[in-house]
Amino acid sequence: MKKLLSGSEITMSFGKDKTTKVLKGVDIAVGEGEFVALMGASGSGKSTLLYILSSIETADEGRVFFDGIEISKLNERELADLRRKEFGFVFQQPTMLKNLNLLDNIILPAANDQRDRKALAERALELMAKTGLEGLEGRGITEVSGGQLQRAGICRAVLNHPKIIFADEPTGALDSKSGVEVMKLMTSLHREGIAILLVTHDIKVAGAAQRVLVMKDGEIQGEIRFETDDIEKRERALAELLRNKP
Amino acid sequence: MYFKLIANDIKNSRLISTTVVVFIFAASMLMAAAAGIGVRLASSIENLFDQAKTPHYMQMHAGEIDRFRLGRFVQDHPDIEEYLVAEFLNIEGTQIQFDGRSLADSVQDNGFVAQNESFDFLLDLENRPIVALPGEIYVPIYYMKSLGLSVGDKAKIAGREFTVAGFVRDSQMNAGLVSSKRFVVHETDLQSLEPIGIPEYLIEFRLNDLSQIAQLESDYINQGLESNGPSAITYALFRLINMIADAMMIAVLAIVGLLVILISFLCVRFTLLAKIEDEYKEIGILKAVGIPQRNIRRIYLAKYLFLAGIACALGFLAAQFLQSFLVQNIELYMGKSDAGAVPELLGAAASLVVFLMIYAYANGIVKGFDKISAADALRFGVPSEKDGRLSKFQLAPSSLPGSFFLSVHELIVSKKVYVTMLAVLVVCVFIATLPADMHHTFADRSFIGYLGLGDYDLRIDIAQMDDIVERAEKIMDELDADSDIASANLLISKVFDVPLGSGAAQKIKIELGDHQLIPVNYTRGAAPTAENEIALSELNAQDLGKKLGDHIGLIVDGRYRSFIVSGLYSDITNGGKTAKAAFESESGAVLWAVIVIRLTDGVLPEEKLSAYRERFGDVKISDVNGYVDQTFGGTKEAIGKVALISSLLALVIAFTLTLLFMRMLYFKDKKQIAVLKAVGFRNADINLQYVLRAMIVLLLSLLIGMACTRTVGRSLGTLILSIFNISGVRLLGSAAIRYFIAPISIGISVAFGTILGVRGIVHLKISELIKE
Repeated sequence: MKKLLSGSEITMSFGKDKTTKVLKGVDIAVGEGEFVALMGASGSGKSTLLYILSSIETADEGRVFFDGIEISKLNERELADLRRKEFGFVFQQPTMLKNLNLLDNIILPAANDQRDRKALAERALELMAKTGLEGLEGRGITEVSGGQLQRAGICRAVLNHPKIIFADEPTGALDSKSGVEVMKLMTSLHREGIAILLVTHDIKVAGAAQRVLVMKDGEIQGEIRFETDDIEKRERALAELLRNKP
Repeated sequence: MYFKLIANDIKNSRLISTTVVVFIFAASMLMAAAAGIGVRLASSIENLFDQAKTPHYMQMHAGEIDRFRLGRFVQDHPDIEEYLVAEFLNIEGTQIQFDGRSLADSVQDNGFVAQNESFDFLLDLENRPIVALPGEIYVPIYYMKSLGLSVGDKAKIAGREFTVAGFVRDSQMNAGLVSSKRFVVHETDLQSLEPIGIPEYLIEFRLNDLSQIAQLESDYINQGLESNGPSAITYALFRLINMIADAMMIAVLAIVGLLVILISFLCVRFTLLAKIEDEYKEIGILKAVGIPQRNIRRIYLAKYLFLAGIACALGFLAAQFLQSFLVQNIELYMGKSDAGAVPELLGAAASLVVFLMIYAYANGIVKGFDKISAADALRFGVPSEKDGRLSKFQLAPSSLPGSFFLSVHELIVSKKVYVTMLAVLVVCVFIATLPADMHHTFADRSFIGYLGLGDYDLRIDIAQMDDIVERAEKIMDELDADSDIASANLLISKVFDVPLGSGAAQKIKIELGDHQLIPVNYTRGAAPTAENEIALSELNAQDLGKKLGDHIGLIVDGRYRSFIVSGLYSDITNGGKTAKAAFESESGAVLWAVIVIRLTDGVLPEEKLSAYRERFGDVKISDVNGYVDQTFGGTKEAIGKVALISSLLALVIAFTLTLLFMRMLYFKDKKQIAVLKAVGFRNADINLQYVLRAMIVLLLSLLIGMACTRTVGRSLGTLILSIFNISGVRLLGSAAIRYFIAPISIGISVAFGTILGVRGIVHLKISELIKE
């Protein structure tokens, strides 16, 4: 599998004098079309790693490559273009503009590229239909449920045909039914060939990935690549791994 | 507890608090300064008039005086406390030289006088009556300023040497607006100068009872006492003439002050509303735990009371410094005020009023807290009206680029917020252009239209000689032969009687001649053309109670004739009371004659002016600029100062308010900005959205502001001028200022304010806000 995204020797510290080390020289790689989950307890550094790999945070040290380009060397303009054209984002909390309707929120990232607005809207409506949001395009963000909003977020993430989706606890703020629906969508996107790097602390969510990396104290301390499609077996294997790397 | 809350709040919003303080400070400073200067001006005038014992009624006269008749008139009027006939020896400007520079260019009547004995004292700069020794000359302050004279300078009057021993503070003739100036010399020097001057007389009265002035004036006119000269001047008019320039400055200061109060209101409103939005949930919690509404209001009000208190106090202190700069002119012409602590007390009262207005306004806003439902605040955390603020203007069907769409969309959905910015910028445009327009009106050539003479290049004033008409006609003959002259018009001023119902008559000065050749601007009606038509100055019409089309009776050549008022015009010369007619009359004393000249294209007025001065040495010749500068220079300068200050103030307000506004928007929008950055908007795209919004608001405010200046502003400016007897003046706008300098400079201030206000966008950390 060709390497799509990789990070090497990534370190990151927080605090006044950078005393709290969150990432301690992490090496990571995601292949083209691969679905990888990052698991770990709160404060393990998984979200920080996701932000650094997706260019919305800059590491203290280390290098990040995407499709052969070292993104840590790109300027703000190039990074913004990269995020808009190659990446998709799904966050834990709905990150939508409050005064726009769902359709406008979905097409927003592509709106500055002067594309055919009609074709853009058609693709967005297609995606909405696919994710069960048909007929909700004119609704405001306070007029739909959390699950619907998260699905709209996924529509926005894939509108530009990204090569990879970064998802930070995408089911974290949802009820279990909505969470299942969202994960079904993520799986189907992966089947379409989009790579996914997902952060979660939920075994069931991580079970949808092909490979799971377990983080603890700013380091990747365990990894499992699933050889089976059986969800129950995956969850059991994962639980086993976590028991050994508490 | 309040102090701790205030300290924390100010610490967290330093920029916003500073801006609120700056505006309230400016408002307090301007209002306190206007009040203080007003008191000082009134007191200085009062003091000057007391020291000088200014006459209550004064009539200038050229020619013989029947002193016996005058004595009898005084005897018949027990209200007359004192009277005097002061000699005013009129000497041509060419005969007066200071260090080699003559007063040939002066349009003033320069009179030499000796100190009066009983009243109408001419004072030195310490407000003491001048005692001139032989060989000494005391020069009017007007020349001290315009010629830059100082004590010890040498003067030559008709070849005789004098030393400048001091300067004259003249309660009658201080102002540039008054066209006569008095030089004080010793009695013996005055006698030695008599052969080269033309004697005129100031017939002056002081009364025991000021309410009798009108009666005295009427009796004086009715008895046909000496009055060969400009209209009589009363005590009230002396006061008005002395204060006009400074009073206009005070009026403009007060108006700008009121506008800044309005801006302070908007500022307080915006910051408080933003605060309510920010702390909506907290307010809900305070309500939910049972804190009374009054106490919640107090928490939010405390900060504004504190800030307004500090700002008003500082503004009051700053006003003392501002006053010391602005009262220089008043102190020079009228002397120091002796109002004691009254200016400070009244200034403090003005600052206190500003404070109370801010308090009352802020209190009104925080009363809106009462409407917040604790349950809603806790459930939603944001004001519920924000929900569903979806506009019909949508991205999908539009073809606008994303950033441009978001700019316009945000303006539509948050119009309430942007209306505040719009209102402030409209005010800025208004205060940047209105005083500039007023200044431009004075500076523009068309201003001479208000001098009662039409648009001319040169004027020749023929007065104070026995053969005025003959001399004028001779000059006219010579002018007719001059090919450089496009047109020359001779106007002769005579005095006529207007019979009043009671059998008495009122005197009226009428300028006779062809009034169509070089016409004045008529505010209503047109120039008199027929023998039975007359045009009146606005003030004269008001005084006589006549309107356009009314009939007015005059005694002409010994018989009663009826005239129709054909036109009304603005005239700010001769006390504003003039008239024009086209009839011919053999009788009536000739007061003076004026020849108004328009030159052919390409002829330089300056060259013609010096040529004519050489040719017609016995008459006064001036060009239009010289006349306007010498009569209205002081007023123009005062308004110019105010125009400059208010324009700078407008730019500072536009910059600081935009900065504050954008900074608050930035803090409010931080999360949304993070979202935009995360989904691939560049910093430049987001910056552009704020700049675009600011520019759209700016464009609208320029349009509205200019419309306001052209309508409300014009009326306001005209009203201010009319208070000072400059009636019917139409405000002119300088196209360069209105359409170029003001919009561009305000635009630059707004652009800078915006860019600085949202400069945080570049450094904003997406991850920190997305995680929240």
